Amino acid sequence: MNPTHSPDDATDVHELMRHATEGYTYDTARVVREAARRGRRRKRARAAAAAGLGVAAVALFATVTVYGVGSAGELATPAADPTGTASATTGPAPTTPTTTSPSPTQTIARERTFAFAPDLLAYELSAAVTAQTPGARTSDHTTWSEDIAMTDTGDMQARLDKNDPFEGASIVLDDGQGASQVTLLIADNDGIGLVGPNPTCRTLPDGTPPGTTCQDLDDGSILLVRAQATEARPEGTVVSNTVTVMTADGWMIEATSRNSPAEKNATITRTRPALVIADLARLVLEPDWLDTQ
Amino acid sequence: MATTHDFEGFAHAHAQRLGRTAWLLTGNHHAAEDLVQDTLTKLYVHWTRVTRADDPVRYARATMLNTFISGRRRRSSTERPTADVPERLHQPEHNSRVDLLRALDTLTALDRTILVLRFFEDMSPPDVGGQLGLTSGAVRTRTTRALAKIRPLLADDYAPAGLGRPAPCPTQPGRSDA
Repeated sequence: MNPTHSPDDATDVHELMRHATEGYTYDTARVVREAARRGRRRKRARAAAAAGLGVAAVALFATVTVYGVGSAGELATPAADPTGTASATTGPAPTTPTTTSPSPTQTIARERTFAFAPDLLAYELSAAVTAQTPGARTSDHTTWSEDIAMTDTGDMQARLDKNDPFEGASIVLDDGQGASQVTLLIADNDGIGLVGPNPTCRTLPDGTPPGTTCQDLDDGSILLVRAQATEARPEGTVVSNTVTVMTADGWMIEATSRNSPAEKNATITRTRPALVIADLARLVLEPDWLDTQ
Repeated sequence: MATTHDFEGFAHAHAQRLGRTAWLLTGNHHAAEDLVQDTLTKLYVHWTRVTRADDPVRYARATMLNTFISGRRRRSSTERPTADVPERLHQPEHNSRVDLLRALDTLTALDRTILVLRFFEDMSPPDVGGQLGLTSGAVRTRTTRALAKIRPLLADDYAPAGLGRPAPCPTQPGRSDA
């Protein structure tokens, strides 16, 4: 150790790293070739898997778009508002709206992890949202991730168990009718005290908010919908739509849209969130937020 | 339209640099090659996204960091830092590498990544924070702590040029150490 270095002067470490890697070489051609070969195989496998998931997603969108989502887990009669925003209300506790549940053979090995680093997650969230709402703009990209959550002032707020991975991102969407916050959270649902792998609508966690409806999907996931939830705050009534998918391999992906640019201490900018349930369902189901390790 | 040819061109152009970063992150050649290969595989699968990114190289690096940190966390329950380190040889350059890797091995995956980004990739604290989802203040704090932890483990006998510190000169005549 060189005692002349101040604690923040890392000139020695900088030089040491450069010097140590100067002679580092490897067979890049072989590694690139093998990566391309594995990539091709993985894309083929994903295409085959997507064919199965697509059936469930199409069915879900049809349900949400045509019928809306009713309270207490019941599908409403054809909704007056075909955008899926009008028919749902907060109501009694969740029940068991659908019947299909995954068989034991559908158990999927836990082989996936986050597809994106946190800052890329915000970028991808913005791209996915603006693809659904052409002409809209996004701003205030914010991310957080496992290990540390940051406060608005930049202080470390919490240190979480590293075995309970999560990452999230939020953006503010402006479609010309007022700013609307959109958040995305990806987490190990077992680690955050939820249902773990192989969820079913019959085994929802106790803390599931009233008015949440649940649907079992054919791939072993469940889809939770909470539409037009309201919360009275000093600044006004915050209205939010939330869609959550809990996957068979134990991951949770949740998307929320609000009628304000932030969850708290923000001006209410519109009467309803910018994204309706169908938008949020696409958001949690379509992009590859998780990736095979 | 993005093509496989584009991917291979990009991968060949950046694989060596990614490999050096991977070696500093993992500490050995085999793990570094595996990390680069896993990274490039993911880039291949999401190649359209890579080409859409404002900075594809940054995207590639972020993918590698994510893969590295996630992998370390998955293995953290079964692996522990080893107390057995390679023997030091009577070769200053070799010793400096061994000491560097040994020192980096004492850090968490996140702190190790921060040091590599700051001092090998020459990234500013805000850029590192953006890549890892931390504020620049958190990056600075972790950097200071990590440096304090590894400094006692770095070799005294390594003195690369340009450091601005006196190199050992044991053969210099008429010079007293006092």
